[in-house]
Amino acid sequence: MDSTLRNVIKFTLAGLLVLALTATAFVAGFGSAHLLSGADVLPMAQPVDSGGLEQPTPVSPTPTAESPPQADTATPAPTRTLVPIPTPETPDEEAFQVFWEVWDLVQRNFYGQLPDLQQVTYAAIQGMLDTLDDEYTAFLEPSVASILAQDATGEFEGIGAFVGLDEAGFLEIVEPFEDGPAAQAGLLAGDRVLAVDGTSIVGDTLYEGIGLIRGPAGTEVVLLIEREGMENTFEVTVTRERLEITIVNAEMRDDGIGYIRLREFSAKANESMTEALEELLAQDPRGIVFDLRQNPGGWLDQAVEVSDLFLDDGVIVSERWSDGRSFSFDAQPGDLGEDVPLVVLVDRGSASASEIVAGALQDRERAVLIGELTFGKGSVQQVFKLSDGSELRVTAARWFTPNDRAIHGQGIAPDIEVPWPEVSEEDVPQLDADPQLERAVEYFLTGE
Amino acid sequence: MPCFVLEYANLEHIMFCVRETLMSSSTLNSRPFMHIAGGILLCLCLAYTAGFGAYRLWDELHPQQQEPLGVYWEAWERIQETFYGELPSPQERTYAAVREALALLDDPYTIFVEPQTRELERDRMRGSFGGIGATLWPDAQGRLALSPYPDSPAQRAGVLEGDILLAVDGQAITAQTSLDDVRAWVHGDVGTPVTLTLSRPPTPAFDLTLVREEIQVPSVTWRVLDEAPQVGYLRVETFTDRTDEETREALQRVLQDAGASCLILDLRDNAGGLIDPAVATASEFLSQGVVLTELRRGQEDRSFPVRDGGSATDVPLVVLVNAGTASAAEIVAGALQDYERATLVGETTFGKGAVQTIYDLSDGSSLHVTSAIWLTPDGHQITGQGLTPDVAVPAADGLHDPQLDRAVEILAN
Repeated sequence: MDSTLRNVIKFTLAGLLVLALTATAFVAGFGSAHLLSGADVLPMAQPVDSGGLEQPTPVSPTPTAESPPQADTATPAPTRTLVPIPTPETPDEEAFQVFWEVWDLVQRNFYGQLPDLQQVTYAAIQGMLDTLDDEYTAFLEPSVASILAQDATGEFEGIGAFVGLDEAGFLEIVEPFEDGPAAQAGLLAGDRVLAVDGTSIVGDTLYEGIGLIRGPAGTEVVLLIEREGMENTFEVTVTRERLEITIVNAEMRDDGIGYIRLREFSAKANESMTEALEELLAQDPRGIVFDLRQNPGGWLDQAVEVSDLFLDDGVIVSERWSDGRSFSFDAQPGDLGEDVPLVVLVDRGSASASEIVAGALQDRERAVLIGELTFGKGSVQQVFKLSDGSELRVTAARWFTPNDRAIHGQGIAPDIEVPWPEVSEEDVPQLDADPQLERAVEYFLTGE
Repeated sequence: MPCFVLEYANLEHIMFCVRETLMSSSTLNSRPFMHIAGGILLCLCLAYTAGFGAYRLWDELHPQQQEPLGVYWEAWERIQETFYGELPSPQERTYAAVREALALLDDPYTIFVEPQTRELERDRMRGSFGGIGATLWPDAQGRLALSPYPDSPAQRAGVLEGDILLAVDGQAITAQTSLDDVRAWVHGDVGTPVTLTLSRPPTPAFDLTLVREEIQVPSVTWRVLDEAPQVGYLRVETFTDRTDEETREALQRVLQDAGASCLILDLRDNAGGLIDPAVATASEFLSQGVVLTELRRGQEDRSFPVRDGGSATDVPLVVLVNAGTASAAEIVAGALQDYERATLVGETTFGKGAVQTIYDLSDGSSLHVTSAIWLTPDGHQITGQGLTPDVAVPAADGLHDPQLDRAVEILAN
């Protein structure tokens, strides 16, 4: 009896001991895994006695009042979750530590609302990009990136209207698409959109507004509209549709000259150009006017393919990268437009991809350029998707024409310069007068 | 994924342990103790691994807070790899990131100050620096104009109010030049020369060379009004650490020496300054109560009581304020108004009742953080709304000062 009891106690104790050891081992394993994942906290910057005096600048009425700095006891209010300060691991991160010093002081001491960490991240990126001094290197927040990605496909689901922010910062219908849902619902150019489905968009960015207006085809969206000359705002319900952004306009003129205008080099540029070109060539034109005026550019591969439509071989464009590598893109024979006489119209608004096409066709003497000096953007951006859906466009290369001309900051000079007439108050020119197009037609008719 | 490799290695280790244990138990099976020991060892190994695995699992299930600013580093790596052009220095990048992040706070007073400017600011706060003794201000055309202080190197060298500064030591001032740049050029060691290129239309541009001196910026000026000798006039330009004494001395001169029987305290265009001298100044006119209450995040409200020994607690008082009256100056005016100690004459004040704390950062830059707000004795917030004068009088036109006239009128009644 005694020994049994003793045994029971012994085993219980042993069991407990084993259990305790096991638990310790478990905790040790958990803990070492945690340690390996590494999380540490930066020592806080201490407020320093700054001499305790501040005089306002006698210069501008920027009042600054400084209380004498006090030892910061840093008792964070319970409602504020502090962002943990990361430990720097690379020299770059070390150089960045001042940022964290600042942010930690702000999150502990700032009397007011703090933005969320995502906003802070985006702002930090924006600030960093500003120092590159390159307007084409850009960061797009997820909402903006997804809208632009849609646009680049040439198709989207929405109400069918060009929109923009007016001077006062309101989202304005610039132009409804012909026969698009917006036009059918009675929206007019100049209408201000104040709210979308009951959510005010006043003060929002353009892309926040567009993000709300767009949506799956077949669904309805209610817009609160303010229209000049109307006393009250009113609501308009629009049924969204799947819409294509028309990027090519083509027309066979009475004088036997074909006219094609390409508005931008979106993902469907080559496809749309090929279609339009097929139709025109079937009518056996004496020449084609290819209008790249006000075409801001787009995808590089589309520029190469569109150039190739008119070239049988040889270099179209070459790129030089920051690391010294260079690539060139060559034309392949067997395309539609390799033989047809060609005039390309360009102006100050012909940029980037437009300049690649114009430059290639000019250098290879495949087309005569008529119009004005082009914009002069000879850089290539590489597009990166970042992990949170935002997008980064980095100027990664410069491109050069087949004759190795650098376009950046210079532009391409037309073979025949025809300026757009200056519009003056007294002498309003005919609205549909187009001296550049007229000159192109003249070129085909006279041969010079 | 290093973590999986690690777990795998651990598993092998366990298998090894198990094998060892089995082997040892087969050879030593005469000793049950070894069995138990082996079993316990195995248990421990398993528990350790289980713990390790459990953490990984836990880690997976509770997606760790994204590395703060992770996307920033993603972006930076891409730029480093691909950007065609010069990359800015890490410091430049960091400062720019800081500035943009602070801009989100939507508070014009929470600012980041780069090292060089910081030096200047410290000088300014001491109230003396090696300079020329003139205020720099951008005029309507965006040019930099000068106003020399009385008896300063600038004034003695012949600088006139309104002269336009074109260059400093040959360094031209362009649209890109910031005010801080110009100040940095003008300031320097006491005793060193500096050449100013000035324009004073219609005179063609000319150079003046002057020697930098330590400049004392006075904060309080006083006089007895010519037209009403019973009225003492005190103007506080700004609240520095000398304002305290200067006010006391000015009051002594005006009340005792000159025998004035009532006072005008001019706080127009007083942009503020230090709070302590402001409390001291208000205390000259008050006998009890609090001057202000400060609310700070995560801390007890803090009251600044009126200090004893005020020398003008019962002299009739009018305070002049305008849209340039801000911050510490609003505190003084607000307290005097709340206690009905003074009549406020002029315009609605600027409306800045927030306190910045200055922190020096590790690389010599500094940070001003709005860390508290001020309430007047009656609990009014100053920020945003400012103080409404008891008697509204619009600003001066030309040489005529209707606000001062009105103050004299009120004191006469």
